[in-house]
Amino acid sequence: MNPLLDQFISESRDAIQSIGERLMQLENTPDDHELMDELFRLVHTLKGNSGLFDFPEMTRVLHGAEDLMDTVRDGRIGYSQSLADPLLEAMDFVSALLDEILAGGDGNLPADAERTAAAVALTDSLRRLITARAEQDEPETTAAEPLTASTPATHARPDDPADDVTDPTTRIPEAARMDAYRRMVQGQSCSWLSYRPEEECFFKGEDPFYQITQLPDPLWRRVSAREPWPAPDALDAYRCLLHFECVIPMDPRELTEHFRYIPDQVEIIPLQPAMLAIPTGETHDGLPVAEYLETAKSHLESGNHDGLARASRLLLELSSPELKVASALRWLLLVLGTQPDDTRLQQKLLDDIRRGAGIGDDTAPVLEDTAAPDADIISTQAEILALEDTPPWLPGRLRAVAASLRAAFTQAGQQARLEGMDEALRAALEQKASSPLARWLADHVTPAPVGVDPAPAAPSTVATEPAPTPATPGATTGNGEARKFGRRLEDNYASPSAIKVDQAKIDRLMNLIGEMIVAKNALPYLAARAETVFGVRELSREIKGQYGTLNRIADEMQDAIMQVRLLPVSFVFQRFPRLVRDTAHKLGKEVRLVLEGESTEADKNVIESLADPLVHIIRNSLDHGLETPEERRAAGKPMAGRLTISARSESDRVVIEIADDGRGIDPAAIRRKAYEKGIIDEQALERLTDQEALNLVFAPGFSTAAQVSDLSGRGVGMDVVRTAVARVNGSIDLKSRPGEGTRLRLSLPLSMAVTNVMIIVSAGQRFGVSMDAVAETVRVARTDIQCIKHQMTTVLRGRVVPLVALNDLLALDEAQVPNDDGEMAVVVVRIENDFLGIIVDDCRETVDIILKPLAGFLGNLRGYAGSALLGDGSVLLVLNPRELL
Amino acid sequence: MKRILVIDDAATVRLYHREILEQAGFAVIEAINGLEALEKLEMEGPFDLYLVDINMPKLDGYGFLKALREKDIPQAPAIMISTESSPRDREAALVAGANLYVVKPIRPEQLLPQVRGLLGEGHPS
Amino acid sequence: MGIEIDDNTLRVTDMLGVEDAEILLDWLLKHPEGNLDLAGCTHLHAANLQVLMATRPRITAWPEDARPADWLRHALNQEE
Repeated sequence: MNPLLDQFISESRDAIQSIGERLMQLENTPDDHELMDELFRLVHTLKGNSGLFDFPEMTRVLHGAEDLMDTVRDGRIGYSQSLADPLLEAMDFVSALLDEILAGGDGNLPADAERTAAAVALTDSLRRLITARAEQDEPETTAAEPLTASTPATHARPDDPADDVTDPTTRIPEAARMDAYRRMVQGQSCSWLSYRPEEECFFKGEDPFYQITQLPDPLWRRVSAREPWPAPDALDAYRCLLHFECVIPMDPRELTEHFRYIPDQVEIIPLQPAMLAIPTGETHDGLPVAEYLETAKSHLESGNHDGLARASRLLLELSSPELKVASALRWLLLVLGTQPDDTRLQQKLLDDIRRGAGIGDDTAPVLEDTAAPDADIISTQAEILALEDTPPWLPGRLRAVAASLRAAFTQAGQQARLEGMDEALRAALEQKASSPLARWLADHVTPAPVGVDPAPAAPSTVATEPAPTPATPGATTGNGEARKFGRRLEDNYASPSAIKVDQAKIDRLMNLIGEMIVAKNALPYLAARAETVFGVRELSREIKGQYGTLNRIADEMQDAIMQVRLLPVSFVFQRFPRLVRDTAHKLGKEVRLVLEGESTEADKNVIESLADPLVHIIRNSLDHGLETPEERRAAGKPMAGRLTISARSESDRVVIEIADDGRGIDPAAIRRKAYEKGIIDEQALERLTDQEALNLVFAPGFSTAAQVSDLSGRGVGMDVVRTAVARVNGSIDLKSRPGEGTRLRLSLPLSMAVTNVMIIVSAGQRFGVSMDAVAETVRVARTDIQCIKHQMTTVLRGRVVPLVALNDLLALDEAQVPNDDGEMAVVVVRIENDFLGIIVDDCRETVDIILKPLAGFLGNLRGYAGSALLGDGSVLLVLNPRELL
Repeated sequence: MKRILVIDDAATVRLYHREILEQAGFAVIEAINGLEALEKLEMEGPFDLYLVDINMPKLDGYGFLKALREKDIPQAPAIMISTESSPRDREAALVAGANLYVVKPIRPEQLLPQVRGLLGEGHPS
Repeated sequence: MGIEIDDNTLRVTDMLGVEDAEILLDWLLKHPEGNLDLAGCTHLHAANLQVLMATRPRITAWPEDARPADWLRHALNQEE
């Protein structure tokens, strides 16, 4: 993909994100003009950017959005939620298009009728808002406008796709253009007409087809629809979609007169012969163009028309007619036959051939460049000089005008005509008025009518004048160092403070540091071997010393890479305003969302794993937690509910709280429900504390539509949320007071790339247990273990802790081995808020490992969190105590 | 090498202009709004040509041009680039000090002749 | 009124007004294979032109009047 498209997509994504955010903010502060301006600019920029590419649907929709924002910004219509909805929808559409473009890879968006239809529908809905509101606000203006306008609009109607931006003349086939050219050199006027009747014109008694058939026979014509025709049975015959384009042998003034009642629906371009002589066709190679150009140049300079014609005919015969060079040659022959003295146009055509052949243009001035724009530049300067204001910056403006005039004349090789300009400028500056310079310009140049004649009757000597001094800017100077598209980005951009890095690269770094930590961990084994196997204690010590250094560097490196992976939680939070808004809207509830601590950072994986659980929780809160406005009012609460999502770091964990001030959860209802579902027995029904009852919402199978876990009809229980959180070694707890609200608290590790595990031994094998789960390790004398109802227990610090033997859990048919003192090693793990002692044979050291999930069919094995490679090359299975039970 | 200051808040547009202009052999300096353009002018200016977008945050194209034209420095031509083709917008640009008014989207074959025309052989007066 | 319907053929005898567009569309929807004889057509309102462009019916005779005929041919024969 090319860098420009890359840039476009990344800038567009940022813009869409910002637009969404601004729209949300605007809902709270609809009168914030600064915000509105910013929003408009974002949409405007996005639209402008899309125009650089051929994405007509995107441009169309954005154009609609921009116009809507424009009317809002001007205060013509007020901002409201009904405006935000289609705007958000439009952004979603653009976003989807970006995905499509990205997926395509080559920057093309193949035509797709469905997409076009969607774009049309979206744009219509945006435009309807403009017209509906505007008419409502000022009924007469829209109707009266077309009649009061006196000159034809020179630009297309705003709702047209970007297809009008190219020079219309190139769309006319060469034969028709040549026909028009011949007529024009014989003195006839020709015009290009584009007529787009407005959609509702039939209801105003207009018949565009009659209008168009009353014109003289066109030299070329095209009738099309401004959008694809719908299927016949969906056609609205009375919504005018027609678009007429033609080249008419008629004076533009007469044509303007013909359409005087609907000037805004037509575009009329007066044609000039030179405008039509544009070679079209395929580019060529392998033709002896260089030689021809050499000959042609000398013929042109010596005025040898016949010689030039002969050489051109010869090359034309050599080339295939559909080539661009053939087209240029045909034009050249036509010009030679009709206007042999127009050397300027001939030179331009030769330049076209040269450019087409990719031959460097270092011999002749680029005349086609000088021909057209100098008239444009000069007439614009005349226009500026005709301004009657005298702003403080007038002197600067006058000097810039003089600079522009100087450049234009110089570039056309007409420095001589600049005589007297400096004096005129001086006089103008002294008098603080444009008039002296304006007079000078009027005396020295007969300005061409604006926009009508791009090639004024300049002396035909121009083409034969020697080329200006070699320092001519433009094609000449750049040749030696022609650059590859976008290659110089890095050297010239203001040094950026942030760079975007592909995620895969960071993941790779992470994996590498993981491997390094594992490799580093091999050193203590090596040290041990040096001493025990080879008996070199000195070496062993040195290795340990080196290990210490390496360890420190690896730790720092790991930390640094971890820092790179940190993302602010806003990455996930930013989706919530829209989610909350849309969901609340659907449920008919009013919600004020408060986000706190958005800049709190955590590892990318942790942050990403948060997204889905949080969405569940928020939906849940909105659906079941918060009451309807009526219920709230009846309960004496503010109509709008409040949902607070906050994040903060606590040592090496991130804590996220989602709190609402809704109806809360009734423990009695939960007890009843859990009992009915068979999750608890009668005894538990009595015994459970309120908090314990609340925790039942996390139990698998609890999902109840009436209470907590229907999640807006998705039938997903909170147990899914808890599992998702547990997967990243997080925990969740819930507090609620009936009538006052509910608060969920998620606690997650900052990072999950490197896990600190304790190595335990059981039945002669080594296993790992995540230190996150380990509360403590203790030795328990066998005599302190009691059996209550077949359940081993012991008392630790006055608290009864159930015990299980790891060998039993793993179905290993061996008894746990006590140490010499008859004590059992017990790892006390915390699962949610309960403690459980796991009896093992021995507890060993803790190590940092990179946990890899079990792959393949092993992945279905419950009870294991994954595996890791140890420094000595062996594989460690890491237990997941929660699932073991 | 002639130096052109491209002022536009859209990075995509700046890159687009940079590619067109650099390929044609000009040096391009970028500014993301009128304010930054004035800073660049202070530090690296004056330039040989200015390509100015209208709608930008902080200081828009009109504001930049007025400030530029009020400066007592060699005055070079400026092209105002706009999405609006209305005569009113055009006049506002010319009043502010633009020397050409070009409507987006801009094709290289359209822009380059105008840039060359305004650079000519002329040095800022 | 310039429409004569004869079995599977719709003949235009004069000019088609704006209100004829609905009749034309209706008939073409019911007779997708129907023949359209435009020989006598002197002019048709743009709404009818739209109907023809959107439905692309089989035209057995073009208008005898050159002006509408030329325009119609261009409108219906060009490929978009």
